[in-house]
Amino acid sequence: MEKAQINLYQLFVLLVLFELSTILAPLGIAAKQAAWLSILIGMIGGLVLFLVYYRLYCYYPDVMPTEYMQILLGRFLGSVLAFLYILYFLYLAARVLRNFGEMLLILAYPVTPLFILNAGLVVVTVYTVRKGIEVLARTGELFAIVIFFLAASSLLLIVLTGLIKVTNLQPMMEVGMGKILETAFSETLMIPFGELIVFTMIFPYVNVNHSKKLRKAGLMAIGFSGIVLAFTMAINISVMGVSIVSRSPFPLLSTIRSIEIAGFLERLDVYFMMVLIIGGFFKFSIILYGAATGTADLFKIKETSRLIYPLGFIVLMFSLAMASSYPEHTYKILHSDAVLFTTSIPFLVVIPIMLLVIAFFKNR
Amino acid sequence: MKILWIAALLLGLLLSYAVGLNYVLGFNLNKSLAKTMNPFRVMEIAEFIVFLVLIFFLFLNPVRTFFKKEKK
Repeated sequence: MEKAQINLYQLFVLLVLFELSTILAPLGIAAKQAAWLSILIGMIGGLVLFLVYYRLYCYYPDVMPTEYMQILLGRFLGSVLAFLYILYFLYLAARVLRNFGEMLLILAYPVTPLFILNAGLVVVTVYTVRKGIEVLARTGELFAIVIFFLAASSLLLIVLTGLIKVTNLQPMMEVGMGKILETAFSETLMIPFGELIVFTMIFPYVNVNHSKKLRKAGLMAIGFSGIVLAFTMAINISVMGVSIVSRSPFPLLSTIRSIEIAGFLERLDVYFMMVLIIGGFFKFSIILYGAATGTADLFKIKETSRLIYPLGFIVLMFSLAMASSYPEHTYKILHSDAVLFTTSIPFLVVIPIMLLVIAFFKNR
Repeated sequence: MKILWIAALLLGLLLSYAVGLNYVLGFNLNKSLAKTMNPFRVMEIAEFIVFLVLIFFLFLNPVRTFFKKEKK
């Protein structure tokens, strides 16, 4: 384990940046006008999952999850489970990288090969992650200000343009409560709230004096980002209507493109680009860091930094191999039961709850 | 060298997962393999050069460490 410490504010910022990177995607749009409600329900589920991850951390505050899995399940089973989690983190990192590359490809670089765009982000991320979690956290503090400025100014511009039509959000319960709950638990709970499991690799680095307040910081970060995500989705639907939003791969881009003030303040695509690059960078870095520290801990490698580049390379290769096109990629993430039942549900929900139950009985 | 072996194992398992997922989604095994390997078969020259550079850096550090140990 690297000798590093981060404070609560830095953890809060990393959590928020991690969550807000999904602001660009049509989150929970299967629930139509109630997409924002399904995000809020997903957020409540996310808060519960965070408490599960936090309780596990409380039982073993000084060790990595890869180590307490071995304490809880025995050396062999624990090692196998820890190894599966490393694979899952790499899969998650590749998914984020693929999303990032595809978005850049569609938005700004239509003739640049996907491999080059992904390789660009991998090189920058590997450089940052090699410097350690403290550097990543401090970078996060700087970029959080940029993100908050972008969010505030774009909201102001949308309101000033007079694009918001609240009637577009009606009828709110068109699809029924069953579909809203299904969307919340199969989509919005898993992406982005369940993905916070990566932070179990970062909790041991939180300053010991602050570790008791970690729960409060985590819950505040999830609550804040959940509300922002739900609000953004509601704005998207109220500006463009549910029909356009459900067909658009990046509804926020369409919303931002519709800003036009006084005939000269328009085409603010750069806002979207900045959120995409900053969000993608932080989410990818945090997941890669989690995978690298986990691998170093499991395979007893002293210098974590030596692992970062090989893992970055693996993720780059897998990001290209995981799907042959963007529609196939989104289908696999959001609508494939095979992915939901082999990765998301077991790794984000079932196994952590099972580990918590075992930890409870072992530490009684 | 240990790191390279770990990386190879992880990459192998991840690619197997990608093939398996395609298989579960209804493609036969040959098609699943072809779909997984296709991005590496159709590379432009610029892409291929970047790919080679990245592979070079992947092996640089382990080989350097190996020769340092040999000298000692």
